[in-house]
Amino acid sequence: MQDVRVENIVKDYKVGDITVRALNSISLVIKKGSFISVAGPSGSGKTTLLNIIGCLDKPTSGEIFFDDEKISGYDDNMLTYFRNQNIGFIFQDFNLIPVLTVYENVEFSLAINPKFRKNHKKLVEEMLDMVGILELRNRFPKELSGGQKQRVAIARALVKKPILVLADEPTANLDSENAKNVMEIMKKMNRDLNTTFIFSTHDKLVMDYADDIIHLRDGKILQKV
Amino acid sequence: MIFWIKLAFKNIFRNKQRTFLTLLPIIFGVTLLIVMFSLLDGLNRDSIDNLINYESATLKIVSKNFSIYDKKIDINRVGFLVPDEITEFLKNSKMVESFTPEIIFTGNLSDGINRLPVIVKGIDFSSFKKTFKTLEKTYPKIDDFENGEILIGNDVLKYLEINYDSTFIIQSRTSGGTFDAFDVKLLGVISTGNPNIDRATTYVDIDQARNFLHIGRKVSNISIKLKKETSLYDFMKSFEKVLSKYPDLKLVTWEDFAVEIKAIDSAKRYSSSILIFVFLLIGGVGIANTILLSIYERYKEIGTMRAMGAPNNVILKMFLFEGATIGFLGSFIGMVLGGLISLYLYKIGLDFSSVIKDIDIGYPIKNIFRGSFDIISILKSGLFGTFVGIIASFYPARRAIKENIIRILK
Ligand SMILES: Nc1ncnc2c1ncn2[C@@H]1O[C@H](COP(=O)(O)OP(=O)(O)OP(=O)(O)O)[C@@H](O)[C@H]1O
Ligand SMILES: [Mg+2]
Repeated sequence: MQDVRVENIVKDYKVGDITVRALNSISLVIKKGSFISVAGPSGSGKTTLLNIIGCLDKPTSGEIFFDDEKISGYDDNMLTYFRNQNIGFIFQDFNLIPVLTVYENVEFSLAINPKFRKNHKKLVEEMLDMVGILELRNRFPKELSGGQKQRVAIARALVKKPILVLADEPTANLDSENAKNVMEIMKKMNRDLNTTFIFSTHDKLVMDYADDIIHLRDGKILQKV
Repeated sequence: MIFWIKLAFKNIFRNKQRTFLTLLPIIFGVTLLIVMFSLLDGLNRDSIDNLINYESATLKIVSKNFSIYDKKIDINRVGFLVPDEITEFLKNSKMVESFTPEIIFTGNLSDGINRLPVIVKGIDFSSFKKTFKTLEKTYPKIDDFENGEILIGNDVLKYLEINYDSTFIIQSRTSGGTFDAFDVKLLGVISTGNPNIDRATTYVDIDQARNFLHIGRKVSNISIKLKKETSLYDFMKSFEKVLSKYPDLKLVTWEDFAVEIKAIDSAKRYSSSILIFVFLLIGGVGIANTILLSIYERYKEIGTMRAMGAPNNVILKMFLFEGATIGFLGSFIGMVLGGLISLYLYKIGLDFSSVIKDIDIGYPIKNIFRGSFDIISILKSGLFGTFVGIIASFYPARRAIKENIIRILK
C-alpha cells in the first residue's frame, strides 16, 4: 500500500510586492491504485497542486508523505531521484522529444533510471503494445496524431512502473473522441498495473472516469465526493 | 552510453547549417595544428640531419679552448695534436662507425677579380667520406682529392667567375701570423642543402692545409660518427677514462651544435601555437554558443526530462556529448585534411627555393621543406579538438540544470 498523504499544504507566489496564495491549507489522502480527478476553474490551483504532489515544486508550508516517507523535507537532488523512481508525468502538450522515435521516447524513461540496466526492448515493446501503438514504434512524434502522441506519453510515464502518475489536463489538446480513448487507456493502466493516477481537467466527460473528484476553488478544496 | 551518443548526434543535426558553421573553425584549427606540427617536425628533423651529416657528425673531439659560439677560428688556439692513445681507442671502439680529422680556418677565396670570405676545411678524403655525407653531394662525382684541388659550396660559386679549369687563390693568415696564399684548381661543386656549407665552405686536402698553415700534425677537431643504434651517452661513458688523461681536450656533441636549431624550433612552435590557440578559442566559443542556443530552444524538452527524473549529471552529459560530438566531428575532418596535407608535405614537400633564395630562415635548410607524417601527433591534435568541444560546452550546459523546472515546462 502506497498512499499519498498531503497535510496542510500552503503555496504562496510572490509577484512583486503582492503575495498570491495559490493553495490554501490543502489536506488529503490518495489511496494506492485510485483514479483521481482534480477539478476547478482556471486559476483555482490545479496545476500548482499537481506540481507539488509530483515533487516538481515545494510547498511554502505543509507536508507530503508517500506512505511514511516525508517528501517535503527533501532537497532538489533527492526529489529528482524520487521522481525518477516513483512518479510518471503526462503533459497537456505531450512533450515528446522530437528527435527520438516512439520507441526511443519510451526508452528514455528507462535510460535515466538506474533500476533498469537491461531488458529495455522487452519492457518498452510490452508497454507500447498495452497502449496499442506497437506498430508505430519507429515513427517520429511529428508523424503521429495528437491521440497517438498522448499514448506514447502514457507509455513513457508507465514503462518504469511508477507508484503515481500525474497528468495535468491530459486531454485538453485532444478532440472528444481521442480524449475518451486516452482516458480509457489511462483507466486500463490504472486497473492493470494498480498505478495511482491524479489528473486535472475542466472536462465533465473526463471527470466521469474518476473514482473520486477533488474540487478546488481559490486554492481550497470545495467538497470531496 | 550508445543511447546518449545517438541522441547527441540526432540533436546536433537538428540544425545542420548552424552545426556546419560551428564546425568550420574547429576543422580549420585542427588542420592547421597538424600541418604546423608536420612542418616543424620535418624542419627540425631535416635540420638535425643536415647538421649531423654535413657539419657536426655525432660528436667531435676538440680543444678545451673551442667554443661553438666562437666565429673566429684561430688555429693557434684550438689546434691540437691527436694523442695516439685516442686514435687507437677510436679505431678499436665497437661503437664508432668512422672518424676523421678536420682543419678549419677562414680565408678569402679569389678568382683574380672577386674576393669572398670563406671557411676552408682541410679534410682527409677517405675517412671524411665515411664520416660525412658531404662528398656524396658533389658535382661532378669525385673519388679522390689531390693536393691543389678544391671543392666549393655551390652558392659561393655564384659570386665568382668560373670556367672549366678555373684556378682560384686562397689567402689566409698562417699560424705564424703572416699572410700567405696558395693556388687551387676547381675540382667540383658541393650542394648539400645545408646553407652553412653551400654558402660559405670550401674543402681542400688536409695535407695542403697543414703545409700552408705550418701546423705540423695539428688538427682542429676529430669528427666521430657513431654506429646506428649506439647511444651517445654510452659512448661518452666508455671514452671517459681515456679522454680524462688529456685535460686539454673535450667533447662536443651534435646536440651542442643544435642549440640554435632547438631555440628557433621552440620559438616557432610557440608563435604558431598562439595562432592556433586563437583558432581553437574561436572554435570553442562557437561551440559554446551553439550549445547555449540549443538549450534555449529545447528548454521545454529539458524540463520534461528533468520532470521525469533525469538527474543533473545526465542533462549535463547530454550537452557535453553534443559539444564533444561537434568537437570530434570537426577534429575528425581536420585530422583527415591535416593528415592528407602532411602526407603530401612528407612525400613531396614544398619547394620554396624561388621564395627564399638567400634569405636566412635560421634553419640549416633550404629549397625544400619536408614535413613529417606522424600518426600519433595527428591523433593528439584530433583529441585536442574533441577536448575543446567538451570544455566549451561545460559552462553553457549548466544553464540547462540551473533554470527552474516549472518555469521551463510552461
Ligand atoms: N509562477 C507563478 N507565479 C505567480 N503566480 C502563479 C504562478 N503559478 C501560478 N500562479 C497563480 O496561482 C494560482 C493557481 O494557478 P494554477 O496554475 O495552479 O491554476 P490552474 O487551476 O492550474 O489553472 P488552469 O486551469 O488555468 O490551468 C493562480 O492564481 C495563478 O495566477
Ligand atoms: Mg493548470
